[in-house]
Amino acid sequence: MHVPARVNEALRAHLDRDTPESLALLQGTIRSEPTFDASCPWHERATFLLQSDRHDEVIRLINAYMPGAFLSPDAHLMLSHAHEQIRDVDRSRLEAYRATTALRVVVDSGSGTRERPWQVLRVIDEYATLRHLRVVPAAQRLVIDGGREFDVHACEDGVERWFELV
Amino acid sequence: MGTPIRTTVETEHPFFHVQIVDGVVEVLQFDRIDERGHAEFLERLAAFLSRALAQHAEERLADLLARFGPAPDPQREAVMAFVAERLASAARSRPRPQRRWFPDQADGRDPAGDVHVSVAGTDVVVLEAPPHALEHPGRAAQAIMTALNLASERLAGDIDSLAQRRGDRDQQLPEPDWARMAVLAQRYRQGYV
Repeated sequence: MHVPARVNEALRAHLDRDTPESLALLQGTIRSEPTFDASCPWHERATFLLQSDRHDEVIRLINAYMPGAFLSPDAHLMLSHAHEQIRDVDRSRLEAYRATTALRVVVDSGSGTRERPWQVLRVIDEYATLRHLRVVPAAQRLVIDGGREFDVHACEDGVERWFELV
Repeated sequence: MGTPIRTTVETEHPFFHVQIVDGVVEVLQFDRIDERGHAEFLERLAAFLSRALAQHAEERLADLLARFGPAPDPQREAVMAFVAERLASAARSRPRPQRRWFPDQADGRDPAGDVHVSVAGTDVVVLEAPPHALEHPGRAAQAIMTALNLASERLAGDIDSLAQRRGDRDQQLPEPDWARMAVLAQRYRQGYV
């Protein structure tokens, strides 16, 4: 998968600086890509293909939505698994690294509280983050506050986790 | 069930021979491959298989139409000829990703995972195999057949499942106005629309 230089540069800059501004620039760069779609139309089909061991098709499908799907932990995890299954070890490792980076970007963007919600580009990124933290969501509600939209996940451990879709 | 549709295609230089029966490649043969011409060989074989699959699809369609097709209707045939022309002119174009998934391509591999085939319609758009997988023509042909049949089976399965999902809705559609559509097709051809 070719990632445009502007996306790579925005990612590198954010990993170097880790500021709200560098995060906004990174997320804005991905969101402005023509292939970006917050509803992730590829996700359901990719899940089916993965379950059916159709790994080449997983790779082609998700790559067709790149770089708009860049830094979606699910996208990179699926790509990593698919590349591993077709024995493309280097690409599998690269995608695993990108998945880890994507999760790190979300987790470092806040604390999951109302005051400091995690900043995400897509709803599926919220669920990937919760899986990564090994917490199980029990219910989700939308909170609109001051023009900002938050997804609030009440989790089975009794803690609410807050995300802001940016 | 009608009589199985059997298509046999062969070329001499290079020697390729394929037999397809009701959508399944049952025989594939070729000569020993010169390793230096590995990429060229795969490219030629993919083109050969594409031609064979297209011929087989035409023969199956002709058989279906002969058995279940509507009574001859010149206006309907004029419209379908126009549609076929448009589809042929767009056959090599790659659509942008759509919000709604459409079954346009599927892939297959042999059990060892060495041979990779991707089929779009009747085109073999990807045929990949490392040189070591082609050392023995008989085993290589078997691996390519397995990968190709798996890709074709998956594509056919995807199309079937989409057709089933749409079936109920499409059955309620009225018969098209073939006469009006034939006039429109003619106007498109003449550049008036």
